[in-house]
Amino acid sequence: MGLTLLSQEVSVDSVRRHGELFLLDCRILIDDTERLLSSLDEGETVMLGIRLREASAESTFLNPRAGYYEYQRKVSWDSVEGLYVIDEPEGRRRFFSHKDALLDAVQSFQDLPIMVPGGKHSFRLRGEIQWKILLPPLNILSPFLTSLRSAGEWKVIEFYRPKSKAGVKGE
Amino acid sequence: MRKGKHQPLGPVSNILTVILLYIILIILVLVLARQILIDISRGEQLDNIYIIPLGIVLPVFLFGTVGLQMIKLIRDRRENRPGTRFKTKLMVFFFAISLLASLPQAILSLAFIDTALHSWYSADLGEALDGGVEIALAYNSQRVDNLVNLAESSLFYRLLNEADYRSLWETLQEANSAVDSLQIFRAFESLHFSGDPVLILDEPPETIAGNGIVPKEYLGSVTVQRVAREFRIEDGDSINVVFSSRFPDDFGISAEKLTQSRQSYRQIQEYKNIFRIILLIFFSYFSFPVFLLAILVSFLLSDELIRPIVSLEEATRRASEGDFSYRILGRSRDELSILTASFNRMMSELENSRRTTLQTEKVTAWQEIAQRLAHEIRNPLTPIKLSAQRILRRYEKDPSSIGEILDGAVSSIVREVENLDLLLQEFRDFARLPRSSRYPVKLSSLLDETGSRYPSVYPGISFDFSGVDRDIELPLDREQIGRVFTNLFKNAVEAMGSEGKITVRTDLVRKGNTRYCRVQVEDSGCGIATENQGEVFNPYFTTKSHGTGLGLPIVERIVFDHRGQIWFESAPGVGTTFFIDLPLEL
Repeated sequence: MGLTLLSQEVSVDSVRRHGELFLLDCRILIDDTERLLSSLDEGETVMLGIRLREASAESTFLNPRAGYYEYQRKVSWDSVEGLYVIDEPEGRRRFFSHKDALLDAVQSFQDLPIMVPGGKHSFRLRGEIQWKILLPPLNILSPFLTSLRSAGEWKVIEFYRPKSKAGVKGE
Repeated sequence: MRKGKHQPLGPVSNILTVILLYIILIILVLVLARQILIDISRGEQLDNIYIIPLGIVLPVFLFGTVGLQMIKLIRDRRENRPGTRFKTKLMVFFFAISLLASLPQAILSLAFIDTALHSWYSADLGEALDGGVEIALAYNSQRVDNLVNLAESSLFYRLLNEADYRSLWETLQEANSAVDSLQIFRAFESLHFSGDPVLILDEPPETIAGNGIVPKEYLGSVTVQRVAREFRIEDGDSINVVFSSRFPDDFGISAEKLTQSRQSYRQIQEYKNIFRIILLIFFSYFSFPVFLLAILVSFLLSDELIRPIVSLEEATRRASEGDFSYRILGRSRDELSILTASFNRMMSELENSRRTTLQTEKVTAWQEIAQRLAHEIRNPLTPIKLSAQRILRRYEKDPSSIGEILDGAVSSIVREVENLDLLLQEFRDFARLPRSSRYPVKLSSLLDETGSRYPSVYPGISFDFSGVDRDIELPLDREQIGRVFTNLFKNAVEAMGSEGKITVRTDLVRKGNTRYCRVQVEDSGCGIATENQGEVFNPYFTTKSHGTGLGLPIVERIVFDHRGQIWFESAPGVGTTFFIDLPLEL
């Protein structure tokens, strides 16, 4: 059980406004794709996620996840089909036979809807990977097996910038 | 009438404290369960790091409180505080009960965890899971290969060109019964469908491999495997033929469960040791505070139980010291309250009885003193009267020779009057002894000061103060205790005559809960005759021709006023030792 965390940076492709919502396209830049593929080949399920947070949101004692949005997908090897499969949170399954196509699909998050409260001009974003999803009842070990998780730094995403160009800067 | 002193916590406060602690414990357990266990069960990181100190605060608080109570109990026990031995016994009793109640539960829980883990680690289970997955895979491969082989067979291609679609399906079913439907598309238009109607498609499926395999479809409990293949027929058109095979109901769900179980089993094998440790830590984390709370409750309950007993002990101690005004406050209505009520009644009766006895003794004492005083005053009056009568008779018979007897008679009268004056002076001292005012006094310096008066007057008498503790200080009325030693030294000197040795020694002694300094004054005089030993402290008893008999009664009175005791041991011809016990504290 190590304490080393890998950095999972996120690149933002675009932020578009649609009425009350903002739609975000972004990608997780996975450092160690070999580790991802070897985990899948060993029959493990891997979780990749984007976590968004309102820039000014403060977590409280009773609501530690105030202002959070999470978009997570599970990736695994389907031994019956003999194919890689991505399970999206809405229940959609996508199969892949080629590793390159799988990695491209895994890293890309398209049209993530963000509801931003009035008066706010930015939010924060980071990518997270759980390299092995522990199944019940072993999932209580997840917080103690920190080597199974890695997360990038929070990045501030600003909108309403001059020339309507979505910008990214390190926090 | 004084009441027993108030204790820091009453019974109501104790119960409220216990209830409050219990509620706090439940709330904290619920909060921790919400904040930690829910996060953990989801397999997420602990975002609220401050929850962890909060979770540590309760056990640390309880542990600290129990530790303080333990230290207090040990300290009280060392100081021999009332009720501590009984409280210790109660604590051991409660502790044993808590342990007996929680130990089997802990052992049972741990054994349960261990048994459950052991059953998960069973090798048979792992082999069975691997075997099940292999069977499922083999079955799946067989069905898929069958469809792929059929699609790629030259026989099917020939039939496709030679027969109409209806004949094609019938021939196909005869040749390969594993195919459950056949559907033919031209572009996105369905030209033909034969077979199980559940398997019909609206448009051609998307293949994911070169051999035309389509990912399984799950139509409720029905699992469908399809293979789609494009054929170019003789008229030059291109058609898409979809072969479908229906798997047994719930095959997909069962296969998924089997795969998940095997994955779970592998993870358990990998992390079994850390999993066991974490489970033990969680078990201890939630059960240890409950155990500590039980110990704390037992402290409060034992305090509550021993309080009347401590009050009774305090009351009996005070009664033994002559204080009958102490009363015990009863709060409950149990057997102990009946006992305390009886005790209070007994104390009231004792106080009344003592008051009556004291009154009687006072009257008797004054009667005795009056009789003795009258007797002592009458003694010198007789020689005075006789001397006066003698002078008068001589004056009447032969006034010229009155000078022969005048000197002797008047001297006798003056001597007896002086004796009478001395007697009255000492009586006044005895009767009006001032109330003692006590301050810390170094005993050795007082003895040195008192003893220093004698060597010049009695050069043959020596003093030995080597056995006196030079550092000891006592709360004393310096003047009165000085008078005690003066009287004792004077008696000793008179008992020894011209030569002898007076030895003074001090020791520390304990009687009940009170510590005393014991002072021994030993002389090498003639001792006190056995028949007189019972009367030396009685007023006006003396064996000396010029004594008043009030010296030792005054000494006894002063020592009594200091809450001390005095007694003596004497052997005629060997010497006398007086013992005085003076308390170390006020």
